Amino acid sequence: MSHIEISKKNSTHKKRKHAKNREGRAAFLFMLPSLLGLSIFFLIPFLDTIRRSFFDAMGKNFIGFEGYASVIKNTAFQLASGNTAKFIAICLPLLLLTSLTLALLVRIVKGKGKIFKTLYLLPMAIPVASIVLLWQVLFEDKGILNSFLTALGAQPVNFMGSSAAFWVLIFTYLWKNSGYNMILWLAGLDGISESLYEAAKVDGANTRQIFFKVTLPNLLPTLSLVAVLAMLSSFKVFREAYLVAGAYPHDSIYLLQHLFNNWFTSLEITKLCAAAVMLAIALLIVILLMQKNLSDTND
Amino acid sequence: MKLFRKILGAALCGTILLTTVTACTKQADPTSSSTVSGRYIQTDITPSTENDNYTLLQNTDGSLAVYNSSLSKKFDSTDLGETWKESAGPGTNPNLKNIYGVSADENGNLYGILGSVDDSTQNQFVKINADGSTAPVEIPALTEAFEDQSSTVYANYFQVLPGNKAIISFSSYANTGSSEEPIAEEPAAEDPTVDGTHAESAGASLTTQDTGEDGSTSYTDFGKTVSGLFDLTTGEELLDIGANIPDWSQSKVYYKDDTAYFSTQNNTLIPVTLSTATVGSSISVSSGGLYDYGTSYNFSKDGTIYSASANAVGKTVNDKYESIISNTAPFSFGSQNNYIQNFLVFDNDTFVMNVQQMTNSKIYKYVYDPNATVDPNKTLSVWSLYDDFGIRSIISEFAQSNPDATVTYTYGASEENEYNTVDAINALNTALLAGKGPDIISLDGLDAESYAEKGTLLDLKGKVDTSKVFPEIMSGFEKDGKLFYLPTRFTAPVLMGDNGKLDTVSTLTDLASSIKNGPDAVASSDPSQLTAIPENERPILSLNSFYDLINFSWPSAEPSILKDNAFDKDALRTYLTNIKTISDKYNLATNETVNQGEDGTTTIISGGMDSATAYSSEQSVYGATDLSSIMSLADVANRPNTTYISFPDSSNGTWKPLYNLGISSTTKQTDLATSFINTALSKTSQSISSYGLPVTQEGIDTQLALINKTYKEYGLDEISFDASAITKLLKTPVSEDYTVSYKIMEAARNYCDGSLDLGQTINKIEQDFRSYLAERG
Repeated sequence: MSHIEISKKNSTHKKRKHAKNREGRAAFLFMLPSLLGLSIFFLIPFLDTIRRSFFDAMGKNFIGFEGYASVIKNTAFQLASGNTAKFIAICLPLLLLTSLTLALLVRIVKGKGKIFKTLYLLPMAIPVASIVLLWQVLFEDKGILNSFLTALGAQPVNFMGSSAAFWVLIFTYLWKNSGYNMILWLAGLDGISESLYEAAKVDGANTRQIFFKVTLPNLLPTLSLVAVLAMLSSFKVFREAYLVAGAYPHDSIYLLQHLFNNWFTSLEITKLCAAAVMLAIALLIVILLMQKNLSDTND
Repeated sequence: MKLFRKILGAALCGTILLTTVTACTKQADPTSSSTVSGRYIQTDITPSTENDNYTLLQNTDGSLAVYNSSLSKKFDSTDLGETWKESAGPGTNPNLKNIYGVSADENGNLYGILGSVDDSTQNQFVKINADGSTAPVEIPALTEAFEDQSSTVYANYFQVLPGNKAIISFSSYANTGSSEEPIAEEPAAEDPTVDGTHAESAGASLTTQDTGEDGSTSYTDFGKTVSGLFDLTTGEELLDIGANIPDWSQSKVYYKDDTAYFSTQNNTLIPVTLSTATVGSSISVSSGGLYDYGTSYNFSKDGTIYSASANAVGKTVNDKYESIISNTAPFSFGSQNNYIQNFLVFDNDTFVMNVQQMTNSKIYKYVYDPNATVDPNKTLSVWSLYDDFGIRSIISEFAQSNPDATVTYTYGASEENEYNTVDAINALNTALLAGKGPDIISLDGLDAESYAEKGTLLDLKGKVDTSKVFPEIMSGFEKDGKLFYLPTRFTAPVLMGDNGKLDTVSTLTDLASSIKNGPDAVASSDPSQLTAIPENERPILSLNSFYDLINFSWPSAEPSILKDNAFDKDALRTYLTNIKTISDKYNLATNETVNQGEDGTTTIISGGMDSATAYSSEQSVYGATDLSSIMSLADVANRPNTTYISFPDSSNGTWKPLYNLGISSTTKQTDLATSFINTALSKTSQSISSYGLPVTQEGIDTQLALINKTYKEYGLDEISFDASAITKLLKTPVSEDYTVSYKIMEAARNYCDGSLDLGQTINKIEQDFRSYLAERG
């Protein structure tokens, strides 16, 4: 290799490196606004939350892990954590299953699928206030459902004042979010190469075998995304619960956000911050575990 | 292109940063107020230092004339109150007595309603000459009413207008009112308009008749009211105001040229052409907020409509309201104790107001000084959960003793946030955590103890002068040598009754048992009918509603039922059983209609015994009251052998602290804030009659003296009582937790009306409070 050739190669390498750096800088600049927003609205406040969890309410005196200890012992925290975990544990599989089923059905009907897509997305477009009104009309003591039950000769159910409230919340969550998750599944399904299905058919695979051997394994990356998004959106169901039943609803729908909201109102800032940090850690662990499991499965 | 990208990137980053900073600043500070260059200066131009009720008039040349209440002195000013020239008024004539009210025409001629020398009745409408002699003015409708021996006439309102016209509104009340003889003698008008406070239809006599299940009848006389525009020359009624302007607010009518403008309760002005007595189309005006009652309107020379209310001073330009002096300005017209009687508008948005205070009136001038600046070192922010006239009264007093200070008053729950108290408290908490909280916090409706524990409040010990506050009050608030907040008023639920008869009632169980074995309730609103019941047939306790039962009993019961964030089931069971016993005996829960409004408010339409507390110890063996004012003691104070005890239960001696004031620990105005609390405890503030009893002896004494002065004028027996008899009852301060009392009320009501049994009720209460109490653990 001549000196000139080496020099040319170095020059090309430098140019490539320079171009890469330039692209990196451009990418960074494009990400900067979003990064700034994320830092200002999430990262910095969260760091302050961590700091406050070790200080008294006004953030002046260091109290160590006292806040964490009192949160762990607090029965309201135990109730709210239990309810929230129970809600996620029931909702998440149900939502994944329902939305996947809908996505598969929509793909089967093909041409008319667009109408169903729109229909299933409609609940997302309905404002929370309207949903709350709908709840009241449907589930209140003298609401439509109870009128129906009474007409059938059955005893009316106190939907919002009994453990039935939990299932009302589950139903609302599924109704509202199935459409959106269906769209995510459809995107995943569209990403599966048609040649795989054709090859499976040539090999004589039936519909069930195609689903379990081709569709499902190829949907695992989508499952990871849908599951994380669904889990995070499950926390938003608090809005409906709060608007219908207020700050102190029936025990079965008393969620972590109720507790956080009430603690802020009563200025229990240390407990609130400690609980928020614990929740963030728990969520992070769950998300990392989910991602690890799914990536292991993919490998 | 490269440069463009860089600029674009920088612009984006800058926008985000700017938006963030602006949003954070706006969000964090619930008491933010813009600093203005220039401000209105209030000057007290009352011509005399004598405490009196003055009449303020504006002459056609713009000069001011002021009369004292007896009309013995007249003060004239041609320089807007800078200097006054005093002269003898018509009241120096000894024959001119018992003047109930005066009004002047456009030429300064005085007219008045005079009363009888022998008693307190009104009986003449006259023109008052400068020498004090009077000439009767013949208004047949009024004269007939005066001469009718079977009724007593009270002038609600009268005002002389240009062109020899006058607005006169008067009510006739029958002299006798018994259950045998109904007062109503004339049929009601076809379309009587009733606005809830008075009838405004000519000839409409408002007497309601209630017939009980047992056939007993009670009547309530609301009087016969006539409101009209009269011609002073002929006495003829030119316009039936009651029929044509039914919602006239009965406040001063201002006029311009030939048109008089009647203000209504809907923030509109109704023009009436005086020469033809024709009513024009209403003009929409608004002072833009809550507490617009008693709004006064007047006009500038160019015809712009100005308005002044407890809310603000402003003007309406092109149908749009513009605030000139905001309601947060610390001026003397901003409270219920400072009612604007007359509002005059001069050039350059200068105003003069005659403000009626408790027992006297003051004349204030408001001039805009463009050079006056707000001194940031003398700016105090005051926060309360609701807009509260008690707080406004303290601000008003504080402003008068600190004329160079600026006070901003913020109330958390307002129309803007649909009275959402949680949002209001969260906004306060955000500000406190950011170190931008208000200087003064009224802790009513908040968990005051928690705010103190969390370090949000300044230790007031040694800063605030509490030497005159009753020691029984202070003992509940000083802890470990520290004082973080203190009440400036209080109430206490008590049971009244004859001496000796209260000895047997030491617990709610005793009271319930006594009620159970006593006579049934008597449903009537006629005190004379109730007091006619023989003593041994009177019910044991007089209660208006189920709400009253809980309101009086729960504060005394709560400390023993709700301990260490847990319910004592046995104590709760006993309490509920007693409540049901009382409720069943008097049909309190079953005889109650509860209306739930769209805004979430609950209105109790009827229920209970429908009798007035003020007469309770004459109507029943015991009476309940929460001692919310000195007046509420009148019944006890004026009746021999009557005394009171704390409302009985296991926690005898509970009382409710009110207007609990604290200073934010992050305040930079410690001295000014301390001075504010000292103002709240001062003799002047404590002597203002607002909700609750004063916390100082001198406050009680002054209020008592003021009331007795009025009583004496009306020939009533004066009140006297020993304040220590009240203060010795004060043992346990209980701050009302509305979440708790509301849920208890609902559960107890369900139990008492039979919807739930005792076990179910206790379970419901436990379930309702599980998360609430657990949060506090």
